[in-house]
Amino acid sequence: MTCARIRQAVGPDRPIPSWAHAHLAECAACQAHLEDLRRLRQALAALADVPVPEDFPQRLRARVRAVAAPSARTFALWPRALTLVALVGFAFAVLLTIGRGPQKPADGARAPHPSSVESVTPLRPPVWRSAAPNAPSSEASPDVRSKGRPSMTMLARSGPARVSRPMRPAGEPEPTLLLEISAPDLLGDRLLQDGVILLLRNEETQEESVLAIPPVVFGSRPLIPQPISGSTSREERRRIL
Amino acid sequence: MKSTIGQIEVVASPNDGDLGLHQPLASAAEPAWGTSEYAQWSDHELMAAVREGEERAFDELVRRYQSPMTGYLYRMLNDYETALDLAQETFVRLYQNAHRYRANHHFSTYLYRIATNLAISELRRRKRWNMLPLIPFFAAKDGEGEERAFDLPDTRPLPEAWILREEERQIVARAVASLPEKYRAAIILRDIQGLDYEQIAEILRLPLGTVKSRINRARNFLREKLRGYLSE
Repeated sequence: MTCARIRQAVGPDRPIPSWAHAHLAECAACQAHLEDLRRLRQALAALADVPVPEDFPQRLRARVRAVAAPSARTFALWPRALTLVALVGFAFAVLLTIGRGPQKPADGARAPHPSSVESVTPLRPPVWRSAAPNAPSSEASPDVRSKGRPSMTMLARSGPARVSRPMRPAGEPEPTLLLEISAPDLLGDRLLQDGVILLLRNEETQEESVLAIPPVVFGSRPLIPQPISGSTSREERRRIL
Repeated sequence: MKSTIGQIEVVASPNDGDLGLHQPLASAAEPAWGTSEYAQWSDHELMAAVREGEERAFDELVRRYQSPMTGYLYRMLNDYETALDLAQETFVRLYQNAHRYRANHHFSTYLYRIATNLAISELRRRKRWNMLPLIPFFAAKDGEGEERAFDLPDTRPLPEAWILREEERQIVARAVASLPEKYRAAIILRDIQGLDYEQIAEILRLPLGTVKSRINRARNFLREKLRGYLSE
């Protein structure tokens, strides 16, 4: 018991407690234990000297420069890239939602009579315009810049866009809507920090939809677009927004 | 080379002792490049200069700590190349986070903490992927069916004392590498790196009593492993 206590208390790097002196003077086993620990400590100290290659500082300097410079650019580009992806993806989803939602005909109307194909006027792409939520009328230009809002230009492309199913000639493949957003301002700090709420309007059908894009932060998700009817009052729109 | 020490067998590794044979080396005590104007500055002063973008102050910190960091990581990981890589990563992180550095503690505590975190991550990664050292796959069998570690032959004549010293170092290094991680870090910081108990407690984020206990256990563990050798 005394030996165990002594061996707990003594060490090669601390003074021997006074109460242990008497025991250590007469106990050979404890003396050997302490001596072993002292030798062990010397042997361990001999491991301290690990050589380092001469070019360590040069390699490190190159590594620091390589890591330090691009990291700032990378971190600055990430949110921008995410913003772009989110914008294009969700704007595309909005267009598909608006195009298919309220205009979906009954099953019987899906296949137009062949004779009606002749008289179908060529389809033209609908004009999608963005407007600030509080824009006064549907006459808003495609490039809108209202108070504190980034400017956006949206174009519908890729051939005849579907406006309503009866007007689509039979056999014509499902049209594709591609929404391009050219909004360099939108990719700036405002979207990153504040987010953006867009009111999208199909000028042919007068359908409107709200697209909310929250601040671009890792893990954030844009809100699901909410279709609103053309007759929604301005107060109602404000409430929705 | 294989030796028997007490109850364990210790195989000499090419990781130990041959580091000086294949590449030019620099001692930490000899400045390899001109940083003498900063030699009298304290670590905290140098860090303040690094924060201001002074690269030569950073060079001086590297000169002071490259050897201790490499040594610490080498003893933790028992892999010289990885230790060098993580020692460099330690300094890279120091540089990147220089603006966050506060002179509340020893600079070395801060640096060792970065290195410790990197070492622990590396050890966890090895466990996760169940990594095995390549050396045994390249080891040859000698006449008695025992493995000999693969190493490049060094034909230079070596003095007997040097051989004995190197053998001794290899044996002790092997014993340290066989310690459980939690004991290994504590005893390396104390008995190889020479830090005080309070610093070790800060680096490992452990109570002081736990640090003392771990070091005590590690010493007893090593003493058992090296029993025959230490008694000579």
